[in-house]
Amino acid sequence: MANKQAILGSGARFSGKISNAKSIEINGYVEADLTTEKVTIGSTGKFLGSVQSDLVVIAGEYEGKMQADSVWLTETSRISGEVHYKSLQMDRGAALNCRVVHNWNENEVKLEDETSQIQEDNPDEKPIKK
Amino acid sequence: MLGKTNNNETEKSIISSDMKIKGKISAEGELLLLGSVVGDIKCHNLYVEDTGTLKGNIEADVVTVAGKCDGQVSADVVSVKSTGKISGEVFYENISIEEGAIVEAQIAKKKK
Repeated sequence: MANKQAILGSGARFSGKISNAKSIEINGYVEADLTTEKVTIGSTGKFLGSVQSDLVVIAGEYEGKMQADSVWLTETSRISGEVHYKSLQMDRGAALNCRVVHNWNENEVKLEDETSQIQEDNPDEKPIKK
Repeated sequence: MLGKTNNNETEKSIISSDMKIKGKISAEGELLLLGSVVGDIKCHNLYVEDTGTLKGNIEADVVTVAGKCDGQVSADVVSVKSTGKISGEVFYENISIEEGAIVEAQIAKKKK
């Protein structure tokens, strides 16, 4: 439905906090922390800040820490920061200057945490989370 | 394809009904507000739809309010629809208020 889709136009500038959005398209300049289901950053869009989303499609510029199930970086995308993903698609031409991590499996992360806690001699020291 | 829609489409911004925003928005084109915003808005055309709520100041050319606005509104054309509710201050060049609208604001014509 059209109502569910939020759009920030190409001339728009926004800085602040976005919450509760289902699907958002960014063609302008946005500085925000965003938790949503689907994000599209258009070729004229620039996003600074953290993103937590099921699906991320980037054709513009992104800087920050991203955690997403599915990431698609198109040929015009420019990324810096950190990308944590479950599945990643990158088109030829995408410019990445970032850390790319595939460690989404929470069970695995938990298992690792538990084992590292057992192995820990000093209980005061916190296990290093990946 | 992405970003290849026409200019009119890309200049339009929509804050959807389930969305909550805290912060400042400035847009060059049209802004459609269906969700809730806490912060200032500056744009050309602003439509606060009946599901939209705004707490903050508005600076725009044309403002249409069918939702709730709380703050200072400054626009050339202000129109308050029957479902609209405005509190705070309104500065206008042209104003229209529909029957049923709730206006609890200080209203004054803009000085040129």
